[in-house]
Amino acid sequence: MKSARVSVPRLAVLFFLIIAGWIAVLVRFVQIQIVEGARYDNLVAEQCWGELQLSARRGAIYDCRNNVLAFDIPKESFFTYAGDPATLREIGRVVSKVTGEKGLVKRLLERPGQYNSLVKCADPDLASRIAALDLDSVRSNVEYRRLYPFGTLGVDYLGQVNVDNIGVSGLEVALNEDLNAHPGLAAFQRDGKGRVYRLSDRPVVHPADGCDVTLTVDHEYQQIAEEELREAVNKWTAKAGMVVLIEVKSGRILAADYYCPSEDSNAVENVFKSRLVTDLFEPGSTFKLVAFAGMLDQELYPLHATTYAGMGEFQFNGRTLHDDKPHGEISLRRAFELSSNIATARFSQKLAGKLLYKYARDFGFGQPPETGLPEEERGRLVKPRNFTDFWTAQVSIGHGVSVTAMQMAVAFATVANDGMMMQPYLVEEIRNDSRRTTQRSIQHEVRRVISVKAARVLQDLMGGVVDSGTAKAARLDDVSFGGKTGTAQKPNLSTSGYYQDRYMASFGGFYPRENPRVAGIVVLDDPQPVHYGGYTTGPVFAEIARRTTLLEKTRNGWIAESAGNRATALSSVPRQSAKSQHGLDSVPDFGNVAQWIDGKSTGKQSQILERRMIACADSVFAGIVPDFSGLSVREALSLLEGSGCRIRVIGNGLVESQFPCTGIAIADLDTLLLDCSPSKGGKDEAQRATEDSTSKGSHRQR
Amino acid sequence: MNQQRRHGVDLVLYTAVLLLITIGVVAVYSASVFIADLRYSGEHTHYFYRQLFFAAVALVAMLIFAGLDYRIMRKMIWFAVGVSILLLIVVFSMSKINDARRWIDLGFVSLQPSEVFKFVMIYLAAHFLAPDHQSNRPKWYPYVTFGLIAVALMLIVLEPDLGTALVLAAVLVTMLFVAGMSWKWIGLGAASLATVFYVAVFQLGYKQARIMDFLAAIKDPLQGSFQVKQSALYIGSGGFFGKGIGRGAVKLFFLPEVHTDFIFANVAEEGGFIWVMLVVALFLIVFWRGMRIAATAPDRFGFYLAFGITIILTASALVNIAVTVGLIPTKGMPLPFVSYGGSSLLLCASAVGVLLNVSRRRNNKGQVLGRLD
Repeated sequence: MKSARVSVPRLAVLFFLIIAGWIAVLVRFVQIQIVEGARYDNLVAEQCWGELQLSARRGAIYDCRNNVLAFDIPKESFFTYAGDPATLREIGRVVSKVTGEKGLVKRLLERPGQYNSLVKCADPDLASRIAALDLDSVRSNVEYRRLYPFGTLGVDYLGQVNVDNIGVSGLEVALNEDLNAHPGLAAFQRDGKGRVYRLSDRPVVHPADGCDVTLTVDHEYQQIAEEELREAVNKWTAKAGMVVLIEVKSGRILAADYYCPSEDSNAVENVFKSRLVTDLFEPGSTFKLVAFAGMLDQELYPLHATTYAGMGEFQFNGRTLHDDKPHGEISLRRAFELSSNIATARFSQKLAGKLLYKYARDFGFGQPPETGLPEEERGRLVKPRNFTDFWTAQVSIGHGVSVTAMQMAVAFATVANDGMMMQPYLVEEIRNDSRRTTQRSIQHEVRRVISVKAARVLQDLMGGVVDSGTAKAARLDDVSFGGKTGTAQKPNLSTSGYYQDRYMASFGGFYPRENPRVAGIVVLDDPQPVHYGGYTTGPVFAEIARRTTLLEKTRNGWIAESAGNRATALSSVPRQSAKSQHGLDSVPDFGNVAQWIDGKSTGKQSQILERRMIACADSVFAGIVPDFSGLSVREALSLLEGSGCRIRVIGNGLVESQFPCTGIAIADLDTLLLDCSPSKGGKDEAQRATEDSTSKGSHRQR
Repeated sequence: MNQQRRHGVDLVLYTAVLLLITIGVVAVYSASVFIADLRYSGEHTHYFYRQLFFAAVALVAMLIFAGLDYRIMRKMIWFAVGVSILLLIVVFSMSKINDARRWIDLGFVSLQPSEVFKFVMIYLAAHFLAPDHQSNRPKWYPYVTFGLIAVALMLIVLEPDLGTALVLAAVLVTMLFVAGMSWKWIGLGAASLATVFYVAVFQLGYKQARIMDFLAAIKDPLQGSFQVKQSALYIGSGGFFGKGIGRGAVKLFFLPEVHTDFIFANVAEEGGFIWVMLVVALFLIVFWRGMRIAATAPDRFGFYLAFGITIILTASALVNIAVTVGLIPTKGMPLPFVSYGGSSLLLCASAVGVLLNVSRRRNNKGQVLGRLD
């Protein structure tokens, strides 16, 4: 290197090498930015763009008095998109300390950089604790969970939702399209640390809440019906029981329940059915209503017409019909009141099979009642090729047909409505998320089944059943009702005969007798040891009639006026003691409801509630802030209605504490703070309180 | 020499560098907003203001060096070599950042001794190659010169910063190559380098994974290492027109330290191919004007100095940009004028100042190249 010379050719080589280097780089840029730009852009979009679902509320379900039967409460869910293993480990470690989930770290590390749920639908307490961790890469969104404030009340028609808050049974599935929430979408940008940025310039699909639905049911009727049915099922160790109550004039279904003590209502096979419209049974004597309605409508006999019912057994076309006891010569009226199979079969012969079939069809048998519930059964009413005498005899006494409880209830409601069949319905109206009514049910006359005259006579006959017929035991002095008992042997499917010792006991009826308002049916499956409808189901119907009648009077202020106490008007109607169920007790003194409840409380949850409510109402009436603890928010709000003070509710469920405490004059009160929390499990409360729905598998604790 | 005519500075070079620094400041702001926000709890302009300050200081330094006769530095060359080697030793007392000791923390700013040595080495090489004093030089002169350079490069390798050492070695070889190094030496050097590389990588497995990543990345950048893949992804997503300044996504922690070594990923994503061409064009202008200044330098020292500075600026830019698209294995080297960092910006601007100074003394009639033999 002695003669360090600058070599021009070498300089040129170098010059071109560097230019070549730059050209190579530019070619590469052309390749990735222009040729493959779109592909790269898509890959980047996958990496840093995401869509966030904006939750919307599923529509609430109300009863006819605007009590919420089902609604959605917001719950916070936490998730992360973090992809960095160290960050994930940290998140897993800290969050699992709060949630107690073991193996969270491992779960997170399995899917780095993707949506990883940390906690789904956290309780407010847990949510605030996770939020307090202030983790950079942990995001939350609101999801909704279905709650049924009255617990299992009306579950048979309300149905259930699945984990995604989509209806799977009952009205929840039938009205899915209306109730369903329409979640919105928002685009967001993620960063490499898994954090999420909302961008204002990306289009957002706004979430829309589902429609609210108002039902025809009355939750207090429902509660009374359920209490009475459960009491009877347990008392008679029946396998199951059903009850349906329908408002006669309108066809509105007021209450409906299916109760089976041995059945796990959470079991998958039981969840998806509304038993009142899906479970078929052979009605037996309650179906005589159809034959008698036909005979009276056709004016085939005067009421005093008689026939010979034999000595309890009668050969009919080579087959034997049975009565419980020998009736001998018996009139049409007594045949109905005493429920003589032989007499009914013989009287019906004049009606002939074809007409009997027509009346049965007109009453709605053999076709779905179209109440709005899913998967309604039609029942079994087969039109034979030839209407034989025996077919007529058999069907007239409710054999060889199968029906649902809903169909029977509709038939009784039709008779109670002077022969005009009203369309039974459950859904009163549907309101969209801006509270505008989008759909309202109208009362619809389906058809005239029998004449008014015939219906009135039949009502009178049904009154006779209670007064001096098979339902004598259910007779009440204070409430007049009519009905028809039924005691049918259960068909034995394995021998295609009948069980000798298993019965379906039923009682269909209406009340009050003078101006029928409510009709319905009560069915008990295999009551023991007594199986007669008049003794088992009749008293249930009677008690429901008595309590709901009392309830109506309470609502109309009748009790309140006579008692001079506003508070009592708020209470629902209690059960009477067991003794009084048989109508042996005197009319209770309505004037002192509170004392009366105290005296005869049977410890049922509704009565405890009633006492608390009355105590609170007393206090409000006296102008003093009561102790709301243990009441539901709705109950507390209803008590303070019109008091003029503002109420702030924190949380949901039952009132746990309040500020200010009890004892202060309501007039001095500006704002009342109610601190609420979901029930912690007492049986009584569990049914009323908003239940935590995060239990496994189902959204509903039963 | 004093009679040489004075010219104005090379305005084209000056403008190109100013534009590059401006693009750098904007890009640093865009790329560092989120990381600054995270690191300095909401102070998202942290890096931007610092870079703005560095740019101002760098401009002042550039003007000072443009006014300072480049030959004066020649008298202090051994002092400069001593100081820079001392700094390379001091750096080993610093705590490790990302498993390497490359920075000396001066409190308000961090100094990268290898950056300092970069330019000192060019000065030293130019000083060695300039013929003025050659006749007076003792025999050990080349041994001491290259011995010191070798020691410094070893220190840089030990930091460890193999990449910078390799680039420096390459620049040195380039200077020697242009100075007429014999083919025998070139062949010997290339052969020994290839052997060392083969043994180290394929026999001893040193950084083999990284080399393999690199070989895969040349075909398809998405098969490369994490950094190359991410960088190429976001550059590609910029397309022809880019996403718009400030609207890029790579800085959202999809690539670590975007505002320093990978700043070009941000520029290319937000500016698209248009800005890629613009920045490349500016570096080509720097290259062209640098070479032109070298060619018209009044003396050999000026030629080698200008040539070395131009080569190192261009090579750094080329290597940095090639790395972002996976054409060269990943290595930590800032993009001159653009990347965030005080010492890099200051030294690059000073070097350009020297270039400008050389340009002021250009000799249009008797060019160095023309007088050569």
